[in-house]
Amino acid sequence: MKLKFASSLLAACSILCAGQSMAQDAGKYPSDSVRIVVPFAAGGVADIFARVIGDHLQKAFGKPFVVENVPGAGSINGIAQVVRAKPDGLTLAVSGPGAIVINPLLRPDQVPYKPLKDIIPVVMFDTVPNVLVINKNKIPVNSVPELIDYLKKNPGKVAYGSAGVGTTQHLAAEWFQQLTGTKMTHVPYPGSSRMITDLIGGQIGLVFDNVPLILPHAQSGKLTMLATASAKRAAFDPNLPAVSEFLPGFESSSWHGFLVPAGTSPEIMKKISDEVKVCMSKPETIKKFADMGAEAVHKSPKEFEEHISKELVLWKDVIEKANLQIK
Amino acid sequence: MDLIANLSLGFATALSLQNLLYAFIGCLLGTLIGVLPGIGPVATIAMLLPVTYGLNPTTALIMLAGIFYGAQYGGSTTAILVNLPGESSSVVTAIDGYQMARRGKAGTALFTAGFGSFFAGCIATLVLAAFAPQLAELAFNFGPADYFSLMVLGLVGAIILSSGSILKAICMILLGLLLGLAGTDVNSGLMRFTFGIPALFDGIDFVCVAMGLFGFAEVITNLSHKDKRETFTNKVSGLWPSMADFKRMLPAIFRGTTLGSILGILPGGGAVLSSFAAYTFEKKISAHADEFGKGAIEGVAGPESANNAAAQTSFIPLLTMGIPSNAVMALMVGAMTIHNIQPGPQVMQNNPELFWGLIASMWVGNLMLVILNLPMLGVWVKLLTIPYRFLYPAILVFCCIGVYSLNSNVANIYITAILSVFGYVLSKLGCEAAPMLLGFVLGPMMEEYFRRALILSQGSYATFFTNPISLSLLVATAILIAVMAFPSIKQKRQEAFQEE
Repeated sequence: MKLKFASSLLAACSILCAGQSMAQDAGKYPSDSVRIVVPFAAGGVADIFARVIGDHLQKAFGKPFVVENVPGAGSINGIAQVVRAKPDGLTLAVSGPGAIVINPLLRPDQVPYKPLKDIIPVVMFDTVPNVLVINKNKIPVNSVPELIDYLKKNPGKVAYGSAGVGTTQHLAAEWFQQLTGTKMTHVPYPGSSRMITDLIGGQIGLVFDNVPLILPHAQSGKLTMLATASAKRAAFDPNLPAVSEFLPGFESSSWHGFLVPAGTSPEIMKKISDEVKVCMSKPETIKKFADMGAEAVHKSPKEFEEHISKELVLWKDVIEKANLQIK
Repeated sequence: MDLIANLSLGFATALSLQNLLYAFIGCLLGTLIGVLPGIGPVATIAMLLPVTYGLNPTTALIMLAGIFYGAQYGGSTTAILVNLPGESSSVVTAIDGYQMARRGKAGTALFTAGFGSFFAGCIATLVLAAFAPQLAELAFNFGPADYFSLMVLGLVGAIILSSGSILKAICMILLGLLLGLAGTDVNSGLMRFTFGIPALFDGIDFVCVAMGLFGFAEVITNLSHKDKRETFTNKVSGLWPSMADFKRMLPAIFRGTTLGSILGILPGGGAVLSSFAAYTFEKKISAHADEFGKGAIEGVAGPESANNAAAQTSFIPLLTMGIPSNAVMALMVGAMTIHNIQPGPQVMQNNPELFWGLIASMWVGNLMLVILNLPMLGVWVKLLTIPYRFLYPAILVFCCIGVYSLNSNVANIYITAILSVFGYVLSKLGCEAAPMLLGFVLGPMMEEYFRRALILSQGSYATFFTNPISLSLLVATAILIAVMAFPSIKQKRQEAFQEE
């Protein structure tokens, strides 16, 4: 009972505070140091990007931007902390599709927030395209049409890997199967490294995965990239076709952006978004991101929200068709 | 010559100022905890894991590895001078080393231990550099079924080689396996045994288990002991052994190094096993068998070289296959995962500077240890007089900070606290926590490979037997169990561990 009372008190407080922060003058933002919550372990791609951008914001706004890693539970821990924070723009979350699109669809019972309702997008700053990569000793094909043909002739025989249930790698392969009417066996891994080792060893035949981990093995000839899963051909290899050239509309990319608690004033959000835009157009930022296999982009709060809404509809459909939801 | 190119890359990495500094810190800390009875390398590495977050992974591993083999050195010092093995692998050293000290040959014994360890360390570094790449290449051919069988072999090995009751060891491993099951299931994404507590969604954190069972539990255990120490600190003189001593020592060092290098590679093996094995071996073939237990120099030289060689070659299965062969290596898996490096054959390709840097740093570290140990013996011995009541509050505070900073979650401190009480109960019951830790790390991996093998074989269990690598590993396991069951060998094993 006591707990309940305390939490309702807290809720009341936060509504009050929300009112206050609405009134906060966006011109004076940030009034204090800003926390950037990264729901991943230190040293990962998202963490490094958060620090690069945080550094820029700190210089631009003249207040410290402190990166804090709160990893675990498929980003739920970290995002949940930000949901509970004051909506004054002083607490930002870094998010990928997992936290705000896929997990809420895949395991609604375990996610203690509603995407776009409790936590809202501020700015998207990069996309990380997946590539479709095979082991040729296992699947003797040279192109996407040949692959589809091969899969149709060998239903259920080809095993594909993913970095876990509900990752973009997994959902991309599910969607690919749904669009082509093919059937493969799913082999989930806890993360990408072991999966790639097994792909090289021929234990599995195919994966969708981020470029940086694949590229060295593709260059050494151990693995073959068939196509990029981004909407258009990717900058790192314009000769590599996009899957969408054969399956119109197919796109599987990961991305990163900032989220804030619902109730944050639009002026503050615009201010953050505009400054991130400046950061993302600097040549050194673009290079830093490219080195990690990501493309520096900028989407305003509105564009970012549209992007998330679109993905929510798309992956909901894929998850329902493949019957993946976890109760 | 790839080997030379690789080693030079390694030395370039290991000899950078930062890495040298951390290798030195690691060796110093390792010697320190080796000297202090009660705090072993497992506990220390567990406590220091969080400290390494801020370092780059190569530097972090170099430091942790330094602690590991530093402890092998330091442990022997107290074993010889005080008859208190500071570390489990120096238990054997205490038998003859202490006797040598009593006969006024403490200096010779210490020199033998230091020289033997250094020699073994050099050879083992070469073994590591020469064979690891081949093994890593082989590891790419290891399918899930093979990994599963290899881990079965490892776990069975761990049961047999654990000192003490076999029944207890089996129970501990099973408990570890069970603890490892909590968290999100890889195959279905379902939550298991999490009771809806978000802190458990990713499973119990390895650092919590290691710190609770080893760090905290050891502090509690130590506080319940009353110390009694008889030292030979004043009698340390005449480090340089006589010609006759050298003649007896050198062959024993060679044999110990060979034995240790081999046993270190085996899953379940490692420093403790190889020092016991080397001691038994020396005793058996020595012309002075009657001197064993009364201060035989071979009884110090053999085991000391063996445990240091094994300490280093036990990195081979870790770095090439990603399989930890003992509790310390299990901690290294944790350390690498923290830095987003999945241990396995790809480490050598993706992080060559880490791989070769670590290997080269072992040699550098060994050199440092010799320099550190021989002239500074007096300082280490002084440490034995620090009252524990000044040490343990510091240890506890650092542990709590470390556990909290894992993911800024207080729940982890509670989990660690619960586990530490549990660890204390275990030690009171005479159950070793090391097999449990190994079960905790290997369990989830085993399940994962087991189920992956079955997914790939369309559910056919035959995959474990039709696969040549997997089959031979399972046969080896069966032989191990059969050999175990033989009454004569059972007795031998009991004898070997009785000598503790």
